[in-house]
Amino acid sequence: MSGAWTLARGLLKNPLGALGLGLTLLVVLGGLLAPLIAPYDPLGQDILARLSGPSPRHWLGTDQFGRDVLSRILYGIRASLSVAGLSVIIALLIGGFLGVSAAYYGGLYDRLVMRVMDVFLAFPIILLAIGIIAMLGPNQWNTALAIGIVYTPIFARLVRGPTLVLRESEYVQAAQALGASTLRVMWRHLLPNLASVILVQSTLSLSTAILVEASLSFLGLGTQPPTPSLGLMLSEGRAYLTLSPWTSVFSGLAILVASLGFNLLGDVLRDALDPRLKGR
Amino acid sequence: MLTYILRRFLDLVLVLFGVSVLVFLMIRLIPGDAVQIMLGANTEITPDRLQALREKLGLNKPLPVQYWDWLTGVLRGDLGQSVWTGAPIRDEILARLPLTLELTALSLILGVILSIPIGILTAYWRNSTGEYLVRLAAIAGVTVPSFWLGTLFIYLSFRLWPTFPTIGYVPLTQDPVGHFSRLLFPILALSLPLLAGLSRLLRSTLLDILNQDYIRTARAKGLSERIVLYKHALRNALIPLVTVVGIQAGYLFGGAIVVEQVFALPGMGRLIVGAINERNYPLVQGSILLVTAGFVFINLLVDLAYAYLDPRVEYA
Repeated sequence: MSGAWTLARGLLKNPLGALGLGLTLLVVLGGLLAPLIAPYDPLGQDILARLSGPSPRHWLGTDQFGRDVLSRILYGIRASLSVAGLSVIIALLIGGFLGVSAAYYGGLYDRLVMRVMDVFLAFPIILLAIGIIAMLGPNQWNTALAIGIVYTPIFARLVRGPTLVLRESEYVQAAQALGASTLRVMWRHLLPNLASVILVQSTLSLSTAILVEASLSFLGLGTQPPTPSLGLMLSEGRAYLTLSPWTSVFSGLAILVASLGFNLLGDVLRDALDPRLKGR
Repeated sequence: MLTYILRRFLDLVLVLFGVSVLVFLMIRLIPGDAVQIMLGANTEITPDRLQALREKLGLNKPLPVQYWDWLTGVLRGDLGQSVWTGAPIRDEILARLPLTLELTALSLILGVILSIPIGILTAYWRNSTGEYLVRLAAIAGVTVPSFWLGTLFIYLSFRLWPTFPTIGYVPLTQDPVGHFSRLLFPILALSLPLLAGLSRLLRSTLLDILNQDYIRTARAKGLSERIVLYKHALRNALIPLVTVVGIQAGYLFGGAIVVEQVFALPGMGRLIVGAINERNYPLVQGSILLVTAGFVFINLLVDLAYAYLDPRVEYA
């Protein structure tokens, strides 16, 4: 716990770290507390106030059905963070396991696993995600699974290198000599040493996963209506762009803020956890 | 060098084989009966129609035979036929691909060209305010969604210059000016994230290089900063830029698919999304295969160019 405090204080000393932490907190709290703080039902229609601009009643205006844009954005952030978060967890679990076990066992298994990862990395990210969604059918959870699969090789590669070094270290060999099981060695001795690279990569991956999710929803291949989704809101708002740009402008801004917050945080964390790298 | 090229080529064949297997399995791994899903999206399902479509797609044969038939077809340039129109998939893709490639290539060129002066200028702005602002701008640039930027461009140009054509497509041969003016905003929207990323990369490489001994020697012997920069530092700083261009091209292509939708451009984006909505799986399959194979080749070329440019790369 004291480690987390030191890290947070280090982050706050850097203005960009403070900004990243602030934006991330804003977005995460906004998404988490959406049901409590959203001023209106995100699906509730106020036909008389369709396509109105920002006003004291509707801070960010209303959409083509008279739905409150601010409430929809808060719920949209909630959906976006759930999908992005789940996808990073999937990638971290599968990729982390594959990378650590490949390095740990080495040999043919290692070569085979990393070859398969190379194959997945050969696809342009969006295209592979689209392919997986085409198979499974477009909805929120399949989007999370698709992004998770696409990001798996990133985590596998990330942890493989350090594990190769750690495997040869004296304390891992000592643990093995004492008869610790492979799983115990991985969990107790390898994982804690990989925590900082995993933390940085997860934060940065969250940032890009938010963008990929928004892109897929924008194409109509992600979250399906009427569930509020930032990408979908941006897309739907375009039909009324000249009349009432609010929906598209604010939903896109929310995507930017969410992605920017995590990216700044990850960028500054990388410096804080690895003093050899200077932030440039 | 020759062994290096051969090795890389062997890698490429292996990766392409893996890609082909994955893409081939796409239709076969669809949960439930793919043929039923495909038919159900378009017509009434009858046993005859199911059987006919299954035979047409070759799904009634053993899996290895299916793969072999499919692969030999692909290698001959036959990607199969569109399920509903019966048109060759190759022709449908070739009709849409040039526009997306044009968007990708022009955005890549613009991003690379602009990143060089920006990377240099910001490398010489080294006080702490500069550090923070440059870094913030670079990260914000990388995270701004291109499809939002494109939407903002359309809105702003409507406000400021209502007659400027922003949406739709005009073939180059018909009206070159109209063609490029309609591609202007999509290209700007696509190249900004790239520009931000490349400028940051160039700046950080330049800063590393400008601290090295040979640069200090060059300065000590009285060379002007201009010559130090252009003759000694910049050339080396451009090498890392080359390595990321291949990967960035892949990202840009993905971005182009989305941005096309914003500007109603008839490229690969509309083709693939339309194919998914019609459950036209062979078309989705062919598009992914062709585009991915293209990028695998581009990345090979980039690697070879890098090995050629940087004598420190070992070919072993």
